[in-house]
Amino acid sequence: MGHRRVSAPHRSSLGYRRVRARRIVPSPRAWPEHDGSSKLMGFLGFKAGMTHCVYVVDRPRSHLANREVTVSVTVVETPPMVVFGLRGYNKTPYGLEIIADLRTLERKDELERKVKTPKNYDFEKTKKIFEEKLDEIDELRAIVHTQPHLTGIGMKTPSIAEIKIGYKSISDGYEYGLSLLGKEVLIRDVFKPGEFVDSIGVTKGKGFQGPVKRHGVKILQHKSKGTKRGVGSIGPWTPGRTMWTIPRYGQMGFNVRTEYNKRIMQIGSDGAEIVPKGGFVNYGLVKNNYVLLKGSIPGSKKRTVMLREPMRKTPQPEKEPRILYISTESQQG
Amino acid sequence: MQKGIKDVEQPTIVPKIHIDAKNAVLGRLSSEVAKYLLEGHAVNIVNCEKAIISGKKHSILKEYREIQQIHTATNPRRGPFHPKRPDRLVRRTVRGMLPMKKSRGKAAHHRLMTYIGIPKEFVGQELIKPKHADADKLNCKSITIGDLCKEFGWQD
Repeated sequence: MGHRRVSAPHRSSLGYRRVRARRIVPSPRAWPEHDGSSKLMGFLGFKAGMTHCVYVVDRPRSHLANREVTVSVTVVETPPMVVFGLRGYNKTPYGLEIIADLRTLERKDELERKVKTPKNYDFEKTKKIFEEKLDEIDELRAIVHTQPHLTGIGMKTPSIAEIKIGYKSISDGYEYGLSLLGKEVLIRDVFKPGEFVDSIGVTKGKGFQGPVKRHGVKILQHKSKGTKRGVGSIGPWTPGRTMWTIPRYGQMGFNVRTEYNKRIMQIGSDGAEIVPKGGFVNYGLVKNNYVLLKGSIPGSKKRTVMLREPMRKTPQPEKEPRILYISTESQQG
Repeated sequence: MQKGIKDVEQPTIVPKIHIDAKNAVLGRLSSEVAKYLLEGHAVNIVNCEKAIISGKKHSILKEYREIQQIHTATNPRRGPFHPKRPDRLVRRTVRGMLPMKKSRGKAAHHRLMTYIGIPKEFVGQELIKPKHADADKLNCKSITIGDLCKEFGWQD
């Protein structure tokens, strides 16, 4: 066994739970604090694919400052989201508690596939109840749905998510939320080019995998007894159980993962500028507004991803980057 | 008397007790609560984060850190679990004083609920101070359960 040493670093991180995501549309575990003008703190989009671009580095301290650099970018298609409800939460010692809920009856027809429009729902009455509880509300969230039928991915049923409304005072936030009810929100209302965002999404599912692929343990020599693609030893005689730290087979992928501080390189409305010849493989054309994110984000193409205001405080770049070239070379053949 | 129906002695009705844990010594409070529970009372403890443990901060922290190291060697997710929230910590402390291997003790533990602060449903109700647990009588340093739990990551 030429590979084996007396001690070696642990194969794969023990910091993650390798379990399947409960929902394919991610819901962030936390939202950042916001103390400015009222705005939505996140946006839902569809991952279209990747390409590359050339831009001028605008970090003054970088050794590449003011030089042209080629970077890979991810295209996220962001058709307008529709707000169809508001929710007020109260902070208790045991977590957030819903205390007020308001839904609009002016709905898109597509939403009927996901949620039935309630009968005998008195909007004005519910609104009054909501307003009575405004003082108790600690966190206000908008209930939004996506419009996948506007894209070319073949999905018809919209996805639903809750997105926090950031505000200075609750009355400001509530008025802003009311003004959005039943209306479309554009990506430009939420994010600006040049900013950092967090991307939250469900990674590609790989199914049930062995320890070599799942944890990266070494493949043993071909004469190994019993197993070649397994762990050489799964633990001592006593205690007669397997330790939780042993890299074992099981579900790989399809986990919710958050990636922090992805820079928005560009927000555009004309998909023809960035779609490669022949369209994105497994996706097609980009027909709506889109976001170019520097680097990669988790998940397969067509998957719904959440872009959220950055959780980790980093100084936001002031200007949007100057992009000189975006590759539209064909990705087939 | 109808045939088949046993003459069961009706349990005596015992009142619910609401205890204010503010400025009460944790162990003394817990033993008193355990006694109430075994007598058949249902007990609610409020203001758990304001209960007190006597002693120097660093020595109490050291003790609780040592307790937290006790876990299943092969898989820590299987327990034993050590609460890090004030209300759960107080409930666990009382549990240690009940005969949990007997159904009597389990039922008693079931009748106990603990709360952080004073929840709405107990506002205006009579809150009892534990008889022998007043921390004002202490002649030593002490820390509150809230401060202890904050060291373990509890956020107020």
